[in-house]
Amino acid sequence: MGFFDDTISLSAPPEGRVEATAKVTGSGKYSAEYEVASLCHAVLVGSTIPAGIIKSINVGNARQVEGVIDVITHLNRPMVPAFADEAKIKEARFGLPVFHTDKIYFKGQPIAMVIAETLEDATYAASLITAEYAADQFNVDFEKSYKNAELKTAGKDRGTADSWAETPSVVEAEYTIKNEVHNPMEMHATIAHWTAENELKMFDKNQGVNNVQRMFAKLYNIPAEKIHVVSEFVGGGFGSGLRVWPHCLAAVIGAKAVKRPVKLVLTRPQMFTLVGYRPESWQKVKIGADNSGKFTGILHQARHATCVYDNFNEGITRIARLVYNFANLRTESATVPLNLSMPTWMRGPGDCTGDFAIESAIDELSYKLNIDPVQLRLQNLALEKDPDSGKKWSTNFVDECIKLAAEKIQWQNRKAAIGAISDGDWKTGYGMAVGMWNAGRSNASAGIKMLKDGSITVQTAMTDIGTGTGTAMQNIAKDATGISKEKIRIELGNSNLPPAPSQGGSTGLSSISGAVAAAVNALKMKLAGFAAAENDTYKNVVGADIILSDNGISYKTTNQQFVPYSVIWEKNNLQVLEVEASSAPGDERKQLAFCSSAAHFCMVKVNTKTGKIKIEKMVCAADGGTIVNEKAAANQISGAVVGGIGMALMEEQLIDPKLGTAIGNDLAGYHFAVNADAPIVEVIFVNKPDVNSNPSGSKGLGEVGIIGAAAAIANAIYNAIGKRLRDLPITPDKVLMG
Amino acid sequence: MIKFILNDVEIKTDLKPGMLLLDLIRYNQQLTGTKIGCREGDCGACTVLVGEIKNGHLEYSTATSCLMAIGNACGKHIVTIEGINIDGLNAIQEAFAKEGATQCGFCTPGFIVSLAGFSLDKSTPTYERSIDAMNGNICRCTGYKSIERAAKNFTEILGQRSTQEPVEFAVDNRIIPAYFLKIKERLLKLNGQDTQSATAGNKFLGGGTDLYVQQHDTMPGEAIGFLFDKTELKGINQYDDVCEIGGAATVADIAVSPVFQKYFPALKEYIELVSSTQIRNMATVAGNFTNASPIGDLTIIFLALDAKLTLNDGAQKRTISLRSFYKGYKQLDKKADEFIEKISFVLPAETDRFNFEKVSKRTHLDIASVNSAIKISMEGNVVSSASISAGGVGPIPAWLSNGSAFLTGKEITPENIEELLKIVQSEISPISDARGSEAYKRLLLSQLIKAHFIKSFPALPIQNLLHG
Ligand SMILES: Cc1cc2nc3c(=O)[nH]c(=O)nc-3n(C[C@H](O)[C@H](O)[C@H](O)COP(=O)(O)OP(=O)(O)OC[C@H]3O[C@@H](n4cnc5c(N)ncnc54)[C@H](O)[C@@H]3O)c2cc1C
Ligand code: FES
Ligand code: FES
Repeated sequence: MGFFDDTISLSAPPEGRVEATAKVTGSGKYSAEYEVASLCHAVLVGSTIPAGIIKSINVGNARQVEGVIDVITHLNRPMVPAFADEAKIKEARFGLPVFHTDKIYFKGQPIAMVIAETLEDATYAASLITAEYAADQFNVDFEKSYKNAELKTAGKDRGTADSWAETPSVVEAEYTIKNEVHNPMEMHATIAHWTAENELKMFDKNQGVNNVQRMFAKLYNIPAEKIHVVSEFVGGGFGSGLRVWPHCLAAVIGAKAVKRPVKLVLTRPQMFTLVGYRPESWQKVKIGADNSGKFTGILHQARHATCVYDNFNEGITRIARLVYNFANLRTESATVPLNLSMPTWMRGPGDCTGDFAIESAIDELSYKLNIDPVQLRLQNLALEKDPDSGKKWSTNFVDECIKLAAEKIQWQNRKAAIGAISDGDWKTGYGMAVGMWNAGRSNASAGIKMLKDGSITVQTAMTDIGTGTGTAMQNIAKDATGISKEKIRIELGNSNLPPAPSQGGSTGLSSISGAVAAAVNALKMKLAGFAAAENDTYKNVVGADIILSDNGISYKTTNQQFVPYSVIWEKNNLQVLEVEASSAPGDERKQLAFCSSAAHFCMVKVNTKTGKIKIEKMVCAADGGTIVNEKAAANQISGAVVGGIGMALMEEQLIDPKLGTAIGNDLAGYHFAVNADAPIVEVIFVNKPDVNSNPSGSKGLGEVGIIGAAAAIANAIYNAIGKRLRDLPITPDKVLMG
Repeated sequence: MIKFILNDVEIKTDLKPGMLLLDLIRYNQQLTGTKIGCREGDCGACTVLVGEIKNGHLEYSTATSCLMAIGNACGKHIVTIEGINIDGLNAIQEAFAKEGATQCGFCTPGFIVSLAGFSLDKSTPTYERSIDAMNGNICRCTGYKSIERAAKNFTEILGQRSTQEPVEFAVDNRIIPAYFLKIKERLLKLNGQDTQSATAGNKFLGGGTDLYVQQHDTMPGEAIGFLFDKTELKGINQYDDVCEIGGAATVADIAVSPVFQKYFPALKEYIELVSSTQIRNMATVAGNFTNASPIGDLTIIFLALDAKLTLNDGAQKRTISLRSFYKGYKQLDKKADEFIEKISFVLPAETDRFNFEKVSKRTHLDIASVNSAIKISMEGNVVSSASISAGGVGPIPAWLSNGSAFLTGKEITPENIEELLKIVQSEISPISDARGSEAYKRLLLSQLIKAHFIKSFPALPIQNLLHG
């Protein structure tokens, strides 16, 4: 089954995504759904203490269970070559050396794995495994420990640290955000299969097959070509699939041990401890302005949690340096090691967190100055150049975003006075905030296969985690070739295809559009080479002059100097014409700075009696350069905005400080927005090309849809009820008691 | 032997009746279109259609297969996403594809099956109903806006249905495949046979929406007493001013019951606060009482209504008050072999007031932080009897006897309400947990009780007091 569903006959492909048919009929295969001969099932057993040493593990009862094939622990696992000794483990930079240590770093750390004929047997046997530990002191309490983590400067200071502290208006406050968990709808899953002594095939949920491939090549010291990773359908990621996690290696170790393919699917509770989360954070922002509202300076301090066996620093203060002009600036950060699993990048990593504090502080400042928050921002934006690198922005339309969104939500209806709009117990408020993200681009390659009938298959290893990579590739290929959509197939998410970066940090579209454009150019030149035998015009041409159609190649205008594909194929005895090309960002990235941006506006109703919050409307105006597919882009932004509602109002992963245990680690306990929580969401695009970004003129949109949403909501709540809530999520109890 | 129809295929199996339908679908039948997002009824990715013959009609509803025992599928038509695929795309699928309502796609089959359930429902197909049909499905990617548009487009097609049978209309309009037309006949034939080996255990099972969450791994091996499909436990009936609810009646049965609709004008609002469409189709009222959760919504409602339970141990029956059912945290006045056969209560008189309030962290699919119900009978300006209940403020669902007694004989005045709140505060014992601190729950209950009065007595000059 391909990304196109070939088993369902369609007279015409549906509108929308290339893979829509496979998804709406349920026929698309996600990692755990592949049928592999003699597959067995693995279940992980987690530690029951958060810190210490394993003294012994009792696997005897589990081994007795019918259907159990093996039980893997650190005592009997086949060794991963890169984990041969402590030094090598450090060098491998894998994070948790699963089954290669007797140390316990967090509660739920995999200490054993049962492999059995059925999932039921494996689950039951796993429940019988017990361990004895020498327990150590542990600490999972961020709130109690963050003060001990010494802040260090993060980036160069600007101006002076205190000259501005006496300026007329200064606000200073602290902000906190609890752990948030990605929780894509699909659980992480791996099917690992050693197809030969040193050849590994994996069906794995991740956001970058080449990343997984490289990691296993390193861990097992085998050439990358011997590792084949398939991730064709990926049920969401939001960053959780950007790393190779312990469970993935566990499946590979298990398959090595039992010499059979092994499937390991995480349970929902395991999704809270084994595949990362956005770490809990504390921030302090001090920001000042003169009477005219010109920002005089900022101090941004941030600390966030990390684990004790690896370090993760997500760069919360980055955004303070990006959006506005501050003559005086100091940013400081620190990480706080806790006995928790490894945090990781989650949608809008770092910036999402930092933005909440800064944009809340600016809002507070606007009330103090009595200047409209829209106005205050507009007059302080750094629109010319990136204040940090000093490079000119290639394009930066954040001001247009603000104006467009303000108009759409009818900002003039907002009242500066708190709670001025009310209906019984319900108070209405308006708030806004901006978000920004570095619009990156990486090396990527794409291939095209063409058949005699003019149909092409465009290929890349890049995954489509719901972001619409495949559809964008099809659109770009259609525009660049002139071949109609029905004749363009897409293949992706497979390491046998031309290599590409991971789908993350909003770089996917930028990177792949360059690659597809390069592959199309290569195809045109190759066809021109053949066409030159029929028509001299093609002897000396450039790709830009060549036009392709469903039937053949033309020069400059359609049907001029036309050479049919059939002639080329027959004369040259061709079956499939194949090209592959890669593209990389060029010098423009050295000279210019790139950003995507968004303005979020929110209209909220707050019930002063019950503390209930009802978001009525969110407007997001975004600058993502050229919008390749407006509907897909708007859907992407809506999804991110509603993710931002989750961040603002409900998402939090609590940890019991006495036990080190995750509380409410399932979808009943961890809430993200349901449909009824999703308000009217209006999305507008500036839609102006950034010609330096990549051939399609686009800039990534995946992150800016969430960066700023939480602050806009908190600011709207303040406008409604006059409570400045600085601890996310803003639950009804905080509204009522705060 | 368990027999049912799965999509177009008749299933006959000796698998344990306590096995989950989801596992049968995915692992036994390799139908992987039905997804797993939580295994606890919270995401809807595993939604299936359940068709059964009720009063001679084939009716479909939705259920989360991750909480449904195959023993509860006997004699029914179970439909997965594969079972509504037609040649090409069906009308729902087309709407989803067109609006880009599928992103990562993992939630998509569940949403589409929920909308298929909506299309087979005989109520007038409105946009609002289409949205309600999906309230048990969650999506992490789309933000729901594209899904709403797809539902809207699809509802327009259904708008042309008029009086045609839903199944026929759906087949004619490329919503479901033609084999559905033969299902009624096939089910009737199937039900003539013995569809389930007799299972008679003390592990009573209603819809399973509680048991399969709490005891997921052990349930398949239990000796289960299947109650859900027992005809004698079905139905909601009125005898004079008494309403009787069968021990297997579901929350969805209450929602559509003419008796409830007549006596509780705001019923729809209350029901919307309880779980989701899929869960309400499975969740029984008796199960809600028996799981003894201190915040069970139905429990709180029926405590205020002073419901009586008829317990049956197979040989003997006894009737007790719901108010005396709870002995301590998860401790019941119920022997292991007793099941709730019947629930009865006196319907509110015309001058009585009833109200239910619930605050939870999320709009839908969330249990209460605190909930409360009230029933007040008036004689002129004076309360002749009052009954207040509250959940989330103690180890058991609480009937507030002191508060209820205080109110009797009083007028509804701001002073009396303040006094009532003081009394109530002294008879509750909330604890701080993930759903809020003790202080918050205390404050919340006071606010909810104030809300009862505001809603129940809109004409009285008590509104002012109640702000803040
Ligand atoms: C996603 C989700 C959301 C939920 N949301 C809510 C909510 O908003 N509000 C709420 O109140 N609840 C909620 N619940 C809990 C649950 O749905 C209800 O408590 C439901 O009413 C239980 O009924 P059941 O038939 O499914 O019970 P089962 O799981 O079948 O049984 C529950 C208990 O009752 C016993 N039992 C069942 N029937 C009888 C009988 N006739 N006689 C004696 N004992 C019996 C069983 O043995 C068991 O101990 C939710 C559950 C889920 C999964
Ligand atoms: S798997 Fe989530 S509701 Fe069934
Ligand atoms: S499309 Fe990904 S969860 Fe809904």
